[in-house]
Amino acid sequence: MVVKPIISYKLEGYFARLNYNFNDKYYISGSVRRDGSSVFTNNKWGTFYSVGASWRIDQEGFMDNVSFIDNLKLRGSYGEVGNDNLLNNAGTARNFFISQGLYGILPNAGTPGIFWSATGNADLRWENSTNWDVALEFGLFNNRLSGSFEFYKRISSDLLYNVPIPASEGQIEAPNNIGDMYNQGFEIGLNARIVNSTNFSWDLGLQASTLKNEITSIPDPFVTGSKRWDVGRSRFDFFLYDFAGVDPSNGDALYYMYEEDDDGNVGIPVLDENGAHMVTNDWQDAGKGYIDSNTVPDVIGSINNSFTYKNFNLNILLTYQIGGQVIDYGYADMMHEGDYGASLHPDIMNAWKAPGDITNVPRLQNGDQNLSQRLSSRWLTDADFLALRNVNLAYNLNKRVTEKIGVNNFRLFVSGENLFMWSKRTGLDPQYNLAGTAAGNDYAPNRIISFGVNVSF
Amino acid sequence: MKNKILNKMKRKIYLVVLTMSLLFPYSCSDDYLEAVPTDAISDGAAYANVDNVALVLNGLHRQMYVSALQGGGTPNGESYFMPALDFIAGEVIHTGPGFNWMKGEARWLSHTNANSTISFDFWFQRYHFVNISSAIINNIASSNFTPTPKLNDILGQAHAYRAWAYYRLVTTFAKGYLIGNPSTDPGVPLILNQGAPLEGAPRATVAEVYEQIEEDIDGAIEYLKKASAPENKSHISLNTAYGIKARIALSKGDWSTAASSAALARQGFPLFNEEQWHAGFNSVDLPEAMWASRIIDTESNFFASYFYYISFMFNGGECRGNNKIINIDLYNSIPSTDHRTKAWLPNAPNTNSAAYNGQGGSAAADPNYDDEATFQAAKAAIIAEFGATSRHNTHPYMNVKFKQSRPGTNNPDDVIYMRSAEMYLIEAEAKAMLNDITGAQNVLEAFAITRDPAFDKTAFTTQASLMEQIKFQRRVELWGEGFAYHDKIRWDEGIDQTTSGASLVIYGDAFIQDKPSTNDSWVFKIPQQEIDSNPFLTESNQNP
Repeated sequence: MVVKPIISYKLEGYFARLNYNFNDKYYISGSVRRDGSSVFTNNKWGTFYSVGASWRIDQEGFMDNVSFIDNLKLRGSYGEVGNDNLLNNAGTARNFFISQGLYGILPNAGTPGIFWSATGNADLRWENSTNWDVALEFGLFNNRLSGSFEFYKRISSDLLYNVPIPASEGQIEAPNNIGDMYNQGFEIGLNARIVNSTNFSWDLGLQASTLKNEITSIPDPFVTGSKRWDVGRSRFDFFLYDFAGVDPSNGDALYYMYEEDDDGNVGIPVLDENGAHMVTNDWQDAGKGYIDSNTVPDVIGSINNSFTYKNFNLNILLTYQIGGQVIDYGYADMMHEGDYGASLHPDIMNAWKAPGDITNVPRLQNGDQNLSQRLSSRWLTDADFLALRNVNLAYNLNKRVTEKIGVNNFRLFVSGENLFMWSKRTGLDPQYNLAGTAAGNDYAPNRIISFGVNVSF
Repeated sequence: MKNKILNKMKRKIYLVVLTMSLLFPYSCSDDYLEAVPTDAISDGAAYANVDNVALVLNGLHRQMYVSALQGGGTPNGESYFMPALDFIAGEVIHTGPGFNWMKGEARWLSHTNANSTISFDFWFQRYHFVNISSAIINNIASSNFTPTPKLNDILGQAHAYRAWAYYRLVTTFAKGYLIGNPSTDPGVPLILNQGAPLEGAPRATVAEVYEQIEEDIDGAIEYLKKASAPENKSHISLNTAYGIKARIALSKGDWSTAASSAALARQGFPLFNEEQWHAGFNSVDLPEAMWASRIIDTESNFFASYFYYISFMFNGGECRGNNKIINIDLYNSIPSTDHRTKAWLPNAPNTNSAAYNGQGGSAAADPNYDDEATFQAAKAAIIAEFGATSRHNTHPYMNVKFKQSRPGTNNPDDVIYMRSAEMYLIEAEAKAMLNDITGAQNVLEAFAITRDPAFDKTAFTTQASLMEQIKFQRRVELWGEGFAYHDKIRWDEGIDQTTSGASLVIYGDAFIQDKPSTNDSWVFKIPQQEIDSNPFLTESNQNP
């Protein structure tokens, strides 16, 4: 029997806001709020400000003679938001008591008992998210071309995170305000009516955005899964055993060697006397390194086409990503060293078989764990993809016909979702998560084909 | 016009400031923002009074056989570690795939891997005990609790747990005391304070860790001498503390302490008679059981339980398709007069079509049987006698030492961590090592005569022959109870499964292993999680 705990969470807030609008040209707003949260113990209160302004350039007198501009607006804002939300260690639900060291219930043969279930941290404080953004919005040629161009920067200070702690402390994670990082990038949106005639029209929508993530302060860098968080790096930088190919003489998997110096600098390549990066066939001797790869795409976005011909309407939505990598655990699990009775990927056919074989797949030898290390750069796969997310074809019966059969509206359609995905590896969904750690053994988005009739009376 | 705008704005800003200054003084009462969970208590409350500290200790008793920790994984305390250590040592042998539980351990793919769950969980769960023991000890030290027998009981048990947990860690994650250089060999981090700064510690030497262990177990014994009686066998009694002390001393070759502590430990726990021995090792009520957990149905760990990994009749896929057998050579060296021969069935039919030895599935495949009817009848007889289900397989040399109290179910059975037979064997070994031939003979006889009425102590008149006999007795008596791995390290014995019944194809590297003094692979790898997050450790501190 699982008893669900009753959640107790209290928030107390004070808020003031100012909005100002002059002549529908200049808009200014500002706010301040002070929030107290029961999540924290010693630092319950945080104060957060925001201010925003926009300028409708199209309303200015000097724009009167520029007839092709329908809408032109420059806006900018600065806002702070407090965050007291941290997931539990399993990442499954919110933990409302992160600042408290806790003992959970654990009876022993019916006699009551408790156990240390959470480290807590009484000095936790609000994480502060600061958002900067500047945008230009426009509509031209009777709004046949419209869009926006935006730059954003989101600075997270005193980031809340369950930090891995050594298991010799009796727990493996502890919440902390670990440091500061920012995310910044551009977002571009364009909508155009390219063809606009009586019987045929074509609308095109384009979206593109970029992301840069950098950790600007972190007193105690740490390894978390396939990443390691450190100053000057992205939280999405891979920190892995560095696969160095296959030894042609015996089929061993080779790993580049890295070491840590006395100052705590990690991932320093171990060089031989000729300056070449040394390799080993034992990943446990190799050490992990930053391998100049991360999950962040160069650009990600969507393309939407909409065609209308007489009573037909066709809508096609594509999404895409360029750049970034994922660590493909699903592929890794099928490229194992040869466990009896476990499925294999067809690429295993390329495994080393005889001295002299040049291949990037090590030999198969059941039980040799050096041949297929999961946390290895070997499984990094380009995350570029183009996906056909949605196609919708519809036909609307003419008013003349609908009136005859006594309905207001009659529409036939066929639509498909998640129809195709072009990615580096068949079956891989690079959009699995931003951390780029596709599990490989759960479901990709369902492909759905539907036919339908919409009738309204 | 600009001025006008600015004035207008100024006025509004004043208004905002005024409104805010009116609001802020009137916040809710101070304790409005206090919230506490309903399924846990704060760390302050946990140590606020003696009764609550007793609850913390009781949580440790429970965690002996189950893992409650976040990220604690499947390995459920001693339920997992005891069979795992016997699998690694090759004394309990896998015969088929089953559900492949602990196949990695049996094949030496787990403890040799810094990312394996057993390295991590063994380390994590024992360090959890270390930290909670320290929290109990330190919180009581800084309290003004009145010393009472109950408080002494709590303190004694906390010191005993810390000693035991460090003993488990240092004998598993560092080179054996007797085969290494304890004063320089890296041991494990010594952490004696729970909580902040949560950054771990460097590895102390093996000798330093042993010093702490001995200080703690001696402290435990002093407190337990002045303590109230243990509530039940899951609590550490004075006897159990002496037993832990005997184990510690044995592991470092302090033979006289081992002998005297073992003798004190076993007082009041008479040896099994034949019927009790074959009762199945499934109850805290058995007379030899000194330290054991009673497991009630509502606190079962089901398919992560000790009997799931070790017994024949537990109703789980691991048991149905992977009989655990005794080393055939060892079995064949048991005298026919020894009643323990009944704990394994050398002539059981091999019904498992996936048996690793390729002799399973039918009478045609099994060299012990000529016709299918006899083969099936033999299986049916075993199922009927021991109460398994018809889906269970049988296998030559399969064990029926461990019997469920409700056979053929997935109900839990009690788990025994220490029993008096082990104490006799410790005392005998220690006396043999001290070259006290008569003393060793007498202790050994007192024990062995209850197993084999024909036992004759006069056959063992030298230290070497006595030790050979004691090793044999330990391997048979304590089979499946989690001693083999550390015994082999203490005796500096390797593994050779050539005629044991194990499959070379499956066992691979684990089929033959050099003795521990020349083979670093015996030592568990420190978990990568610790190396990654402990600022005092780098890859260069990993075990070789």
